[in-house]
Amino acid sequence: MKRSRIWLAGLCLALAGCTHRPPPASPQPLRPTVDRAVLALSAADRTARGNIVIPTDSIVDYAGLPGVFVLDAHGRARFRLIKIGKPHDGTSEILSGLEGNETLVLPPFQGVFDGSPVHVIRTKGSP
Amino acid sequence: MTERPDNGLHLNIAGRLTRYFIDSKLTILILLTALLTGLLALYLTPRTENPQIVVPAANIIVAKPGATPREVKNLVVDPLQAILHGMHGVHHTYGIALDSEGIVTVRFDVGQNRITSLVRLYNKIMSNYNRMPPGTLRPIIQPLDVNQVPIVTITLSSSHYDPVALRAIAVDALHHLRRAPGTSRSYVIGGQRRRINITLHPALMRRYNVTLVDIQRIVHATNIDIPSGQFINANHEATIHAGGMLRSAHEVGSIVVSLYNHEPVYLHDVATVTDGGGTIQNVHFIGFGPAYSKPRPRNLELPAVTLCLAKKAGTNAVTVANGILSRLKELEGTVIPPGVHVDVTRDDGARANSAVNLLIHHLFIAIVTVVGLLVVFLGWRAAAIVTITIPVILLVTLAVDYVAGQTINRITLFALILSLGLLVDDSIVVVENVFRHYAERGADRIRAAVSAVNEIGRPTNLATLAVILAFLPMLSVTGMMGPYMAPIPKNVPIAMITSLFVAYTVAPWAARLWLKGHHGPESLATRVLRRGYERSMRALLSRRAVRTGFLVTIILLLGGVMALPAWRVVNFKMLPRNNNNSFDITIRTPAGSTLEDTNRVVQEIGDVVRRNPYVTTYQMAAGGVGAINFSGLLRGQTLKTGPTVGEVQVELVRKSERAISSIDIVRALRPAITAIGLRDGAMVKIEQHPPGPPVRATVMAEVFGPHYRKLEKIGNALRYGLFARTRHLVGVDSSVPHRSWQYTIAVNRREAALDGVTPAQVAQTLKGFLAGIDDGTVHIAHAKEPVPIRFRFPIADRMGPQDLGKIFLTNPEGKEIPLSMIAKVVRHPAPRPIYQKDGREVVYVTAGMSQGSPVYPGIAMWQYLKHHAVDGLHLHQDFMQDPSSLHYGIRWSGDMRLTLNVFRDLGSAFGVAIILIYMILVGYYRSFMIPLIVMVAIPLTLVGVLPGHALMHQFFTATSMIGVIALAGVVVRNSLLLIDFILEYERAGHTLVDAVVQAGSVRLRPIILTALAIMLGTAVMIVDPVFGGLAISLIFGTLASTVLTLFVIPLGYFAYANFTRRHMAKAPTR
Repeated sequence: MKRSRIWLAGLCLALAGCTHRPPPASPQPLRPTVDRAVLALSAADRTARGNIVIPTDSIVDYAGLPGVFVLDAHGRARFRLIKIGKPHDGTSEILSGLEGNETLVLPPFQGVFDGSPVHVIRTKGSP
Repeated sequence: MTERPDNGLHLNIAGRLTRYFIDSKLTILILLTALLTGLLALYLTPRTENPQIVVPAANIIVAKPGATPREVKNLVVDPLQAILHGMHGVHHTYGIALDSEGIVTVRFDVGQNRITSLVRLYNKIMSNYNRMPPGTLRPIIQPLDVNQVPIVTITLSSSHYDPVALRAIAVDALHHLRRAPGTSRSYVIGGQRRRINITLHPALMRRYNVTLVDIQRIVHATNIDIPSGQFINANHEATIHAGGMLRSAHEVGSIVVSLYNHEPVYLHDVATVTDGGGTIQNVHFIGFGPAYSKPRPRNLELPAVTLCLAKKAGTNAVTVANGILSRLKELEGTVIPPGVHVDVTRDDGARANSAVNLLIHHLFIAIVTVVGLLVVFLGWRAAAIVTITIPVILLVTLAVDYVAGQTINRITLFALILSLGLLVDDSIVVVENVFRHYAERGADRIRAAVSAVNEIGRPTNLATLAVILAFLPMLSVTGMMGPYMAPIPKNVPIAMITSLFVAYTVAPWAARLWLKGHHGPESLATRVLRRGYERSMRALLSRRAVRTGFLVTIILLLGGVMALPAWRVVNFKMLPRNNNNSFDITIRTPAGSTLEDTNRVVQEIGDVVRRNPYVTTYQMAAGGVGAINFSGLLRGQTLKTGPTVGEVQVELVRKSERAISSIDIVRALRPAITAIGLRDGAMVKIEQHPPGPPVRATVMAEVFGPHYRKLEKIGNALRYGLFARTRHLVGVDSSVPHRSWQYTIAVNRREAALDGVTPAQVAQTLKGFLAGIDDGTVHIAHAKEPVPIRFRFPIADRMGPQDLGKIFLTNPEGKEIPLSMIAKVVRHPAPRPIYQKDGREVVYVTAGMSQGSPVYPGIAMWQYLKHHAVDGLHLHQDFMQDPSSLHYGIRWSGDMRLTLNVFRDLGSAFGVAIILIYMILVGYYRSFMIPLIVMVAIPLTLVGVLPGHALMHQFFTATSMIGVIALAGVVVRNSLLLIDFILEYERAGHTLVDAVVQAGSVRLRPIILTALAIMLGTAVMIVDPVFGGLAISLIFGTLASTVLTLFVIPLGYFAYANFTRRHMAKAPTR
């Protein structure tokens, strides 16, 4: 008799101890691999003032923010915020945001998202 | 009812209460009222996660353009601190003297009234207004208030709305959300304000011979609209407005700024006029982690804006947050367009609610456990009686809290769980005794019950009073820990008093109705226990050697246990870290870094955070900080702006739904995050929400001394030497900035005078050229934020000092003078800020802890500095007072000092509690010795407490100390009843040995029962990271003390009685 009471109490405790499950994580969105040419920046892309020069058409406008898509270590295009200086003959001087050892993803940017895997079809040197 | 049950009995208060209520109809009414009021209070009382700590504070910002930090320090910060320091209730003042600006943060004592403090502050500053040095601008006073901390933040993000549009959406949405009742301050972080940007082209300006000053003057003169009287005609009045406001970028561009060859020169001829964001000064992104449960955007991180809403003081965070969020639902799809992602990134209402609900849940588990125990020990009927008293007592306590204006928070509920084990005692004692009386007589139930209560009235009152007295001194804990812990000494006594009242009224009333008066057979377990106890007790009493051996063993045990902290088996810490749903990472890139640099570091940290499976979202900010929280507010986060500042706020899966604690998540992330900081030279700190009151840093050394230069050197020596070497210290930082450069444009006064140009003109032109000048606003009817007109030069034209050659000034004769002719650019180190605390120059060296307690690295560093010099100087070290101002010295501060203060305060509270208990015991027993025997039980608790902490691998924390104090009350109660029975048996004529053995054997069952009630009642707390220490103290302390008390107290009394008898026997012969 007494033992059954203890079991009952134990059952109550076990019920009370149960917690609800977290909502399931949503699946990763479709980010198809894009075939794009890339541009490996080098020391030759610097101006006399030490700024990096990149082709103006490789600059993207990401919801109003100026930047470029940089290829990361995992082969994905990542947005990088930059400050643009003077344009000159299809190129632009970048005042800040690039170190000079990055690989830029080149246009077209249709279908390229922040985090899109990039299949490199061509690597360019200096512009 | 002809015969009152009290005839022949002198009734005490307990007996009289019982007699009145035992058959009164009032009892059931009181019962129902208590239940209903309590339930109402549970529903109505504002819920918060932690008790609200009122620390009035304010930043006073005084600008003095052009002054160096040293000048600002001498002319602004020093006098201001002196003025403020003389104010009543000011705890500390912290000053920072920057270039052209001084900031003084004034912190009032904890618990000072917020409104009066601020009014006094304003009054003090206004009455000293005339003493402000010439050239200073009007001081800005920013109150720092808990109620400014947003309780709800909502992040809107989108990949196609630009920052201006997104901000406009956010401002519009905020406008709707702030109509929710109870909201106070609300604002938007991120995005860009709309501006009319006038980008001037220097070459064109020269061609048309217009200067910035001209353009500015003309725009200013155009953008005007004055109500200029009325026309009255035909019984009708119409108001007249003269002028014409500028209403769009096009209108601004069409202003005629000059004449050139008799042709008008429009502004758009010399400048590009655009309507948009202008220069980006901060960026705000949101990223989505693996545990994100809403539809994901296709980009990893999205540009975002965050809406922050705070609540009014005294309102319920839960209802305010729910009001805001239900309004948000209506806005989605209408005010907030469909393409915008909406994420609630902070919901303190839900957080408080779930924290409170979790503990209410725990309270239920504890009640069920205690009831189960009662059923096993007392049987169904008696258990039922005690059980109905539990909710009554708890709900009455909550009702009292509601009336007193307290909130329901985690600490309140811990106090209730803690008192659960104590509050059943009174009813148990009453019901047990009534039961015994019923079993013996079985005659008049009312009379028997009254005399049963009357019998135990005095010792029960005393025992309850002892518990109350143990807790009350805790109210005197100083600092922020005082209000944080206050719910414990407030609620436990209320619960105890209520339990006493209920035990004398409701319990006998219910006992009269339900209790059956016949003994069942004694259970096997109790019989075995009782026999074993009696046998061992007699064995102890019969031989002196065994007795002495036993006592020596106990003393050795106690000594051995006390050595545990010295051997570092048990470690001290103020409060362990809590398991949270979010944490912050603050970033400071080296001086001179750009917004883009900072954003890159922030992004790299975001990449690390995103890999953790428990992360739902993370908000990144560069060029400013994200939504502020309470600890950030006290750390001075609100003052941090500029391109070198960044922050990542990480939201995790709710803690009830994740297997791993946030502490472990942070520990796993730390190496990768630290590596990023090291690689980029950035100062990266992970800030976890403190479990208790926030401090500026976990480990902090304040270096004081006569010369600031030397202080900076010592600071750096400590930072890169001792602090960097000490184990477990992370995020070592100091207030000494890195060297950075600045350019000064030195105007040659003679040349300038000869050319007819004033230095003021140079400065004005330069400001326009480099920083841009805001002048006026355009008037756009539906814009919810002002739209300023901003003049500036293209960024490409102002990259370095060489570009200054492009600037020309026009002198009164109309001659163009290039700036390079009258001014020279000089590069020199940027002036460094000077920090002050309480009017003295100070350098802070700070660090966080990766794991463990800050006490031990603190002691290690203290020992090191005692024997070693830093930068050729021996430093004086202090913990409590400021070092002398004549020598170089360190004051250790931060979490460690708080730990010391708290243990000091709790230690003295413990001392006071013991003295108070001793005093009432002396009053009760009318003896000085017997109370000492009773109180032997208190040190015996340590035999359980310290090994308990070692066994559970827990720190001995402030809550453990509260447990020790609570134990003092609890164990005194047991030994009190034990001694009471011994005395009674002696009075009844038993021999001393018999009285001692009998008392122990009769009290064995209730003592074990109450001890088990406390242990099982608090067991549910043991899993809590913060209050686990309290549970460990209570469980192990009660266990050890109960087992030992049952032997030591009777033995002690036996020895004392033997001694007095021998003494008495000798005395007459002399």
